[in-house]
Amino acid sequence: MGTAGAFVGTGALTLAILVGTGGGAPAGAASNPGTCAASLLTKSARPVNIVFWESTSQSNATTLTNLTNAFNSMQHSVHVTLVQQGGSDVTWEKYQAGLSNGQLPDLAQIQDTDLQGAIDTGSILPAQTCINTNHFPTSDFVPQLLSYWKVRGVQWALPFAVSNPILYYNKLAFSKAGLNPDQPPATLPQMLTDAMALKKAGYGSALKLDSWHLETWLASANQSFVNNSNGRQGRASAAAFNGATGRKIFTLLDSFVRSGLATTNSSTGPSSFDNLLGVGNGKYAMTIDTSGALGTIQSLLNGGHYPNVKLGVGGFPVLSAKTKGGIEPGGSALYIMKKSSPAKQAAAWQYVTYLDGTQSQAAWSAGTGYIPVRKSSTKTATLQTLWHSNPAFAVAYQQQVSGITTAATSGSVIGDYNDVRTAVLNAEMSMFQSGVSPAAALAAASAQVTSALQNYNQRIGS
Amino acid sequence: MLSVLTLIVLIPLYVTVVNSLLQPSLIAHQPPPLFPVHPVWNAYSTAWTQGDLGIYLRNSAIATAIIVSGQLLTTIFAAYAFAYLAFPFKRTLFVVFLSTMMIPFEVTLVSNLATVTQLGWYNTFAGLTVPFLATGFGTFLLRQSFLQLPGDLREAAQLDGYGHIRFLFRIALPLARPTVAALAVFSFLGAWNQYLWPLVVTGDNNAIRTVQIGLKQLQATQANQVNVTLAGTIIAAAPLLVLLIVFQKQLVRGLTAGAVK
Repeated sequence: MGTAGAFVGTGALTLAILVGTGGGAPAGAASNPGTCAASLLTKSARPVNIVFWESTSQSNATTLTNLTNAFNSMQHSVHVTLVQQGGSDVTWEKYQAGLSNGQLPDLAQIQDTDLQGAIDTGSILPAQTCINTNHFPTSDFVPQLLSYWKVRGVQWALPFAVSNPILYYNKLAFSKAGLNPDQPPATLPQMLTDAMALKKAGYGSALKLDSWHLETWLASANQSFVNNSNGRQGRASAAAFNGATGRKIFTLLDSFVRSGLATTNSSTGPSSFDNLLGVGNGKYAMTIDTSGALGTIQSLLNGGHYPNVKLGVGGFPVLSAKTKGGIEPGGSALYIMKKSSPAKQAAAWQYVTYLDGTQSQAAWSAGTGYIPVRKSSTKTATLQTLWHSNPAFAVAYQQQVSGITTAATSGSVIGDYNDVRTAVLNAEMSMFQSGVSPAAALAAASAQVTSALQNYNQRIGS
Repeated sequence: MLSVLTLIVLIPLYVTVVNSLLQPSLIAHQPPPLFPVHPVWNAYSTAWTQGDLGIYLRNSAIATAIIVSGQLLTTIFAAYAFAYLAFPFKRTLFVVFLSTMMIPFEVTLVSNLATVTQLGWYNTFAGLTVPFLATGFGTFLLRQSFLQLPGDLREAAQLDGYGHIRFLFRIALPLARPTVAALAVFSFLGAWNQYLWPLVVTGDNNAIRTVQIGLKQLQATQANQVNVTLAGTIIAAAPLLVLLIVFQKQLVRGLTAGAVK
């Protein structure tokens, strides 16, 4: 009941705020051009107190609290107060509500899909400003993670809690089906072939209905999801996936599901973990899901209740081994607020660079399973030890850095991600359930995505 | 038949209790365990301490008490006025009252938030409760209940020298007790289960946040803590369950009052 209410609320809120801010600066939010200059900190009274709205789950919050306590005690110019919001959707709801009465934090952890929305609120101080003022070097960052939050050459936020989709599979099932348990399928066509062998051995496969996967398969073939370079050169106004690559993805997915090889489950609501739980209890031989779930799955299996499962982890099965693409990252980033005083902005920036520092990212990655955003973090003893004893944790990072960095592999920048993803899911469902042909389903998805994009653009008046 | 339906309604509750007592690693087990063979009770203490549920429950209790008593007070007087007093624009005013029932709260959220903040009530119990001190639904419900009392009662009371206040509290209200009790339970449910408003109107400390927000914070996306989340849910729902059991009679009587004339 709470969820339903909150959902309606978000819709109403988004509309009200976007309408309200279409013409100018957001109501109630004073804005400081800001420079983030470190010198501002030395000039002001110490310590500068800042408030950080974080979106971690309870179990990851411990790692973040430890990092923040260490930061607060190792220096005396900045003091950070953590406010746990209980999830990205909650933070975003609260953030939007806060725009109307000016009750905003100094720093917020906002999820990937709200990038365009955050920009459109006009309430963000781009990280680019801070990078320029302080000549902050970014060459150590994983390029694709930076480029996800870069729009028209401006770095809006720095990546913080990032994951990508990987393949979870049961090695014992692979052995039983006569497949090499150390060689999971590397491509989607191969996944279908393996699924057929697994089916004969009595194992199903699971496909979570998540539009993120379509986007990732496109990215793996270096194809854009929406126009204007995935919304990075100009505002996205039309779908860009209604081509040969899109058709190939939809056709493969269609035969995967309609042949009975794969069971689908929703990516929201109570069934959203069915694919992972199914791998956990031996019902499914393989599925694709976020790398962020790896720690959970491993601890689940270590309980000793599932003797028929030996977990294997592989990279995301790309569309084709021949085309070079990349894996689109997902997750959340750190945004600094425009309305905060210049000293607070400088303080927030100092904390952001600490959280995204080599050692912090190593500790954060080891504690949570997220991909470290810095290349140097992987050389630390913390991650070297972990990855040596538990190589599965290195898979997400390795596939992230092995891809190329283009607008197509960086993910798309879309204002109304909800409607866009719903459109793609509806089209997939129409294929699986009512037998609509892949070409027709793709055309329908494309038309609906375009109209969702244009609706949003009209709403905010651009 | 009824017992079968009851069973269907109770199953989710039962599953919640069972899963809150399981070892977390059993969550994916097939078939799902129907009894906690080796119940693990520490999820409840973890939820209580890690999730600060004590403070959240206290905040919810305070906010709910203010809202329920406020709603009863305003509703009783407003309903009495609409039922027994004659004043200009009575019908129009009543329609205006009713119209507040048609507007979903979410629509007025942003303007309400701006108002509350300008009044300086952001992050206070006033901000949490004042917007809910009156209710169009309650006024409507109680007015109908007053109108069903025979007109002779009012005349007899007047002959005995009763003024409005004495008539209201000595005669009308005792006779409308089932409706008042039902109203109290409804407003309790509504106030206790609120999520969106407490989320946006409370600020950056936990000293004022309500238990539903606490639950959301407790909800770990990690499956290895599912038992803790479920234990927290049970703790947060416990006051409601107790209330329902205690007031069950009034609730049913209030709902069906006036259904058959």
